[in-house]
Amino acid sequence: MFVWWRAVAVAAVVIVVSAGVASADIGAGVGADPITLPQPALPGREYSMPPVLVVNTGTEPSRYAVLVQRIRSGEQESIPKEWVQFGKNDFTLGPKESTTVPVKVSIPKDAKPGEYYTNIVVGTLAEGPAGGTALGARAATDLKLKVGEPRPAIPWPWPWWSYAALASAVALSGGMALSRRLGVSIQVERRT
Amino acid sequence: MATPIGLRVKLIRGRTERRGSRRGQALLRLAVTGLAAIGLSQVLPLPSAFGQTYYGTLTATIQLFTPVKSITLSTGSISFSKCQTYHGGTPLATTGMSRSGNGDCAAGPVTVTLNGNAAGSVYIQGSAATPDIGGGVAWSLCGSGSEACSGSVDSDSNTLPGQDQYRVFNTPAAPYSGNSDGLPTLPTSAFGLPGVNDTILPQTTPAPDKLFDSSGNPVNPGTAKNQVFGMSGPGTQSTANATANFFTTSISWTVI
Repeated sequence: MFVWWRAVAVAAVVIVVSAGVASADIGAGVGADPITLPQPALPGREYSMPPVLVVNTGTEPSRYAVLVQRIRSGEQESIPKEWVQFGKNDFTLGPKESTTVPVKVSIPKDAKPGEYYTNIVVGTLAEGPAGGTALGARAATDLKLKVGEPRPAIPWPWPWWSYAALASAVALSGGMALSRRLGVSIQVERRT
Repeated sequence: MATPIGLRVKLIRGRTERRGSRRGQALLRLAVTGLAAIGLSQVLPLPSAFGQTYYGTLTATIQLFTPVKSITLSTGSISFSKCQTYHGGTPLATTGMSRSGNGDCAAGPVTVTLNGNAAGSVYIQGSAATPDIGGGVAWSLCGSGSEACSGSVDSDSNTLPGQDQYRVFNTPAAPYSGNSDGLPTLPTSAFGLPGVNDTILPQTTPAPDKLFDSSGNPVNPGTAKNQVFGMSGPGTQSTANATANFFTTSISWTVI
């Protein structure tokens, strides 16, 4: 009798352990819509892009990193990593949890006009066992933009003399208009 | 004696002329009339029946779809622990390979599944293998694209990894059965040699995973591939790695 109960107990432990070691998937998902700007970007400006949707499609919590890496080749210029900033990075998501990552793009003043492209890659930060091979799941979306022709540069702030010239012009034109309205003219004559 | 020169400034008020054309006066009248109409519309009540016929509420639901591309792996790590000591040697169920001589190892399997709700292309990439000792020299991946192997050429005209190089490829796990030594039976001409439909892992830029599509074309969600890996180690090693016991590396899949 004692042996029978012991066998049942061992079987129960085996079942529990088996359930515990069920396959633990790791996964990464990303919003598939390309991240673009509706209008051409201007050199020297900074733009807030639509955020990146990140989803943990695995069955266990995972750490995620967001990075810029061009995966597909093409004719467009690559967007340098330095242009892109992420609102957050290296974060943890539970199973089936999702979040959004804000994206900003800074166009340098010397950026050449044209079509630009790269990929925003979201991936698990897997740490494999020492001597092992860590496997990573990553998902990528497109980041596209067009850099337009730079606008004529207007120095800012303006130099002091520009304010003086502007004030003089306003005062002169105002005075002329007022004198015309009042019918008053200024006559300068030499005193004899 | 100098005569002083003086200037006299006079403000002369002339005849005030009434300016303004007929057109200007008409525009002024129009503006005044318009402003008066706007003002009256704010003060006077609207007829009680005004607009009532057209009021109503319609509730409409707009269904939104968020396309998501995602990839899932059945495990977070594998280990190249089934090895033969030297390339071309008899497979032995050793737990490691020689530090030189292009020993081969196998690892896996792992199931890679494209899920989400949008089709995507699957790319694969490896990384350099770092030794467990400080000051060691990492092995770089070779055999893919411009990352050429620099070792000797074997009997199959296959250039093997050179000094501090290694090569990893994936291959379908379908024939995976394990031979009497516990090694995966890889569907290649020789253990450790990639087949034409296998992908040799690049280090710098991801390459299309040929097990999903040889050209990197998108595949539908739900597509899954069960994969195993073959690896060939360096032909020779830097002396700095003489005391290294193991190397750590990574493999990642990217859906785009």
